[in-house]
Amino acid sequence: MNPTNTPTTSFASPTIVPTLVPSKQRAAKREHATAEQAVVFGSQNHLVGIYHPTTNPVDAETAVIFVTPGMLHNAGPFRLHVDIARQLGCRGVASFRFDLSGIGESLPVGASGRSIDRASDEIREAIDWLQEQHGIQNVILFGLCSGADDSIHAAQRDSRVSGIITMDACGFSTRRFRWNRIRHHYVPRLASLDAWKRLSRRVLGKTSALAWLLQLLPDSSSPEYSTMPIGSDLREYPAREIAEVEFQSLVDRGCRLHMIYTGGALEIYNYAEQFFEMLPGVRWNDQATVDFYPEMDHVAILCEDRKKIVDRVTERAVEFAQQG
Amino acid sequence: MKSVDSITPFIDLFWQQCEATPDRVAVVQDDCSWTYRELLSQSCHVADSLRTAGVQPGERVGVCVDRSPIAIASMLGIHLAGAAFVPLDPEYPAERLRFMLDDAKIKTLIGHARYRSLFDANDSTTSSTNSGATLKWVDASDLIRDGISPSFPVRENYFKLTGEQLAYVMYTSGSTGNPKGVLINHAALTTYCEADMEVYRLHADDRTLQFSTLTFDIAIEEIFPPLLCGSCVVVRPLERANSANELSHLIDTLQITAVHLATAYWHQWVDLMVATDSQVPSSLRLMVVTGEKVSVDHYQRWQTICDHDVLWCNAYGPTEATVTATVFVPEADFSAANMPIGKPLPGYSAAIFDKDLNEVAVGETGQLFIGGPALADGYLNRPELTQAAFIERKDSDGETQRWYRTGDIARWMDDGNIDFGGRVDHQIKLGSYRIEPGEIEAALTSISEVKEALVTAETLDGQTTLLAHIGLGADALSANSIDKEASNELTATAAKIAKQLREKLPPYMVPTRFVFVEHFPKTINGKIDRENLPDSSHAVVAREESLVAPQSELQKQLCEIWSSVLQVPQIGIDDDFFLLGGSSLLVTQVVARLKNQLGLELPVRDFFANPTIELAARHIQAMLGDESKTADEATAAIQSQRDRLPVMEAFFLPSGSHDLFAVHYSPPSRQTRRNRAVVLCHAYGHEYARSYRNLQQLAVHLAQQGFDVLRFDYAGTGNSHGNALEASPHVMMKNIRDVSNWMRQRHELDSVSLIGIRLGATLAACSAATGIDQQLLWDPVVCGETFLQSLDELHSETLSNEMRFARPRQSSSIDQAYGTRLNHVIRRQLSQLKLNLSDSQDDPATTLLLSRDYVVPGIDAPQSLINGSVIQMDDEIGWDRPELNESAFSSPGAIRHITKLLVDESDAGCAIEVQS
Repeated sequence: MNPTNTPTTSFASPTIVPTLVPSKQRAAKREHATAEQAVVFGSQNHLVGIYHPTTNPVDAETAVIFVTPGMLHNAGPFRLHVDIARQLGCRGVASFRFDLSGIGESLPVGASGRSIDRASDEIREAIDWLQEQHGIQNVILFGLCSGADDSIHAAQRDSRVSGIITMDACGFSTRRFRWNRIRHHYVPRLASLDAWKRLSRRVLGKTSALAWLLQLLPDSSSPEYSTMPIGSDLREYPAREIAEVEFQSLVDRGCRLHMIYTGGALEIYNYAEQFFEMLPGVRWNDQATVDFYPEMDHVAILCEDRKKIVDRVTERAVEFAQQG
Repeated sequence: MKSVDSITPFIDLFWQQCEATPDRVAVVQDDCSWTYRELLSQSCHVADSLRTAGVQPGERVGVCVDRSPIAIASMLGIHLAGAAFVPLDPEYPAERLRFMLDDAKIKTLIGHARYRSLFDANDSTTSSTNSGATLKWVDASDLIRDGISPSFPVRENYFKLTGEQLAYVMYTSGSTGNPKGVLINHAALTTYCEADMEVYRLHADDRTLQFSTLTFDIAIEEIFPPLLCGSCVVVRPLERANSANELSHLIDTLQITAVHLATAYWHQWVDLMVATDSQVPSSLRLMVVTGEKVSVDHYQRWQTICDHDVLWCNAYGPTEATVTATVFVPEADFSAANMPIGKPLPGYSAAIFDKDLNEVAVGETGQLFIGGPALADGYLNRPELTQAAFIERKDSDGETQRWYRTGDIARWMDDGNIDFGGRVDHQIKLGSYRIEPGEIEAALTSISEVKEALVTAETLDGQTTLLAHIGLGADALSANSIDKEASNELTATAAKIAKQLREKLPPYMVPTRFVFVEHFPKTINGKIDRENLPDSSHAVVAREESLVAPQSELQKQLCEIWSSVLQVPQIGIDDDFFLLGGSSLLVTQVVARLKNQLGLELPVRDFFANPTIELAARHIQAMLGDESKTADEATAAIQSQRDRLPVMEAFFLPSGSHDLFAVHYSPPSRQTRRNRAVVLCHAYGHEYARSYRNLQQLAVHLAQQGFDVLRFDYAGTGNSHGNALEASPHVMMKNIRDVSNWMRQRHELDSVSLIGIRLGATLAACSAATGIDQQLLWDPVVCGETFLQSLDELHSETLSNEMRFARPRQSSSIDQAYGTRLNHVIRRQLSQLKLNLSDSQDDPATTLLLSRDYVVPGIDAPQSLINGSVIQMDDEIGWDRPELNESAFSSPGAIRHITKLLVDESDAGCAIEVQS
């Protein structure tokens, strides 16, 4: 019997009606909290973002912009962007995180062109907003996966980008990469029955007779669900030759780069020095640094990994900001 | 349960009735009227004649006789001779009749002389059998005895029967093309008759119309039970009445009190009465409808034309369970969308089993099985069919019970009635959807123009789509002649019907093409004759009036691709891919086809940014270097898309010591506001990421329907303030209360609606939030402890399975589960969380929305969680699939059901889930 007509629960918290506090009053009460500003911006009022200010800026004209990865929204995977924004705020760097159109809270209005160009346009709109509202002149872009590709591409098109920090950005093959791949990826799979089955299905399943034979194998575990695993979208980074030109151009104009690679990108990147070896034609002028975390996954699911990323990104962003 | 041997055969009960009421009229047709004494005497005469003709006990005797008193006496006389009768319809093709003769090894046949040639072995038009040559013909007219013996017949002079002996063989259609004979014994017949008398409250003053042909088991229903209560069987007159409404005329003039009709005929009769503005005949007190699914719409029409008390019954039963197995008698306030088939008759049992023959819980669907002494012995000469259809199963007491597999989909309802879901073998698989055509047919027949509907699948050019046959009635269709103008009219009718269907069903369930007929052809049993329906070459395509058709070749190509991928027959250039059921996985299929057809590979996110055909086509044109569109046109298209989308505000709102990130969606400026507000409650942990996009899509869609919607993040989650260790269930429930109050105050409303998904649903239900008019709980977490356990298992598995990490990782000292930081407070509060809605009343109105693959560990029937409505959805989400943990999904079914529930709660009937 439940005399209160409410569902059975172990909890019985009293109901408290929130007082609608005017924003300034709330700001006084919760300075740390209300300092963040949620906004709808963009040419069609279709983009949603959150500005995280700082009270003691290392450079009042520099802020970090978080570029959304894939289909994930602006809080970042497991709140990665939120955590970095908070730490940046404490260390004197303001930040802005927002959703590209059609992703997260931002509405799809059908801006055409390559998605990477569209992302650049929207990043430009975010920079414009920061410039207009907070006097920001320089931005450091942080992007993971496709967010990394978008960041590098946007930097080509907007000189206000003074620094880029990426996670699992582009990767090009090198001799050492290929050797590592054979040693650490293919050789162990020679002993894996599952790997052989997957290969058989992929290679042999194309003919009808063999497809029939393969039916004898247990069904693939791939579900019929209407979902797509994370990170399986098309990557849009340019060919190596173009990438070299682009990176050179960024370095030449003084843009600072910090590239983070994780074990989640082993298919394209598998040793610490690969970044410099895969783009041998670029004169880096000590403006690029690389971290490689082979034990870490693509989105830093573990709290300890996330802390490493938060600390490292904050550290580099603060350095970039200090250098103006 | 009575043993078969202990059940008195029908003929002995009938004999007792004759002794009890010898002078009451038993059967009447035109000028012929026999009392019970006379009917018994005639029956005994038939038995004597058969014995003279050499009929032995246990033989099968054919009966090819028109509806008549002598037909009844023949069936009874055959029993008195110790034989079983086999009804044979003279309308059947000669070949079919001969098959039955052979199959049933019929040596003796009672028939009218005019039908004798049907059984002539020398008929060269058919393949010859031996039966015709050896058949003993007993002319029915010779069996009629003019004078009645003054002495009452003596039972001992006739064969003594037992319950297990065969009473009759009723042929039904078989899947192989040959009919199959269903063997009904005397115990089954008695069990049925006694149940029939009780449920239909038969009494001596009843006058039951014998309307059906003898080869349909409605005839058994019309003839046998009334003869056990001293009532009168009124056989349909030989001459057809000269009346537009023959049945009403018969009932009126013959003062009929009880009528049994096949569903299709009953539908027609109701339509006829409505059309002629006539009332249900006043003498009628019992109306039994049987054979096919009853349209609720017709039942409602019936109520409008019935101005006196009539016991209206929806009877369900396969021939294999002796006429009728379950009966539903609607309450006065019946208003469900589906007409249930009721409860088992006395002496019958019913069960709904899954594919492994486990009983399903209330609300879950499975296949209906019938048990009890009324079951047939099996099929004549078809042991393999018998074995497949009649199974033995141990029940929970360890006793073995025999069951008949009906092949019908059904589910138990909370009130003990059974809901009918159509035939298992009529299910249609369309892409990833399993469709029950009965659901579409019910929606079709609820449309006023549609008298009859039948939905099937057709495959054209390798593409499977839905085809609807529609019976419009003579008047409606005759107005449409066969010229081009009429063809346009039919197309318009199809468009009108499709438009109304779209309001009731998801897009993939709306048929693409429609074939219109006056009336469906019927089999001799009154069922739809599927084989003789017009083929699909007569079909017209429904064009949606509001649908903006594709203009350019690229738009047409895209429409075709989307239509194929989404299994949605028609797509307008303004339709949103994701609201039509699209997901990121389906986008990859679109991407693959574009690559094949246009050589253009696009990232999935392009389709998130360009979710309509118009936008996607423009985007692709630009990618292909087509500069034909001017900047103004591009701007106009963007503006047009934006105008269709909600007005958004993003802000932080207070809840205790936290500020919560929230986005408020207001209806687009052109949309009328409903003055209703909705708050969306997110899932927790990794499920937050999975469901985020779906709730955002839901918010957009609801705003487009005129609702004000608020989506927010709990403290310590998403973009809200606080850290993950503050996101305890206590805090999150407080957030829900505060946000609901905030929303009420903002819109000056007395109440708002809450929609929660997974843990968000649980927290919403447990939050004790006030001012909530409706709460919709989508796949709620029922037991916090189990949820926590699965979270920990998932975390541990993720560290070791090398799918996410290149090498297995060890757990650190940090308390966490799959990306979410935890501590003992959160763990304790989560563990204590239990959802139990079964005691809750209807305030607020609560509905459970369950995805197809939603499972609650330890609970067989999630429906039992709630004392309210439950909606089973077709969409699968895969909450327990670790490889999909952060993948967005689409659930157009949820969006549709939620919208429907919010827009009009009374319209939200429970869908029948179809399981393979």
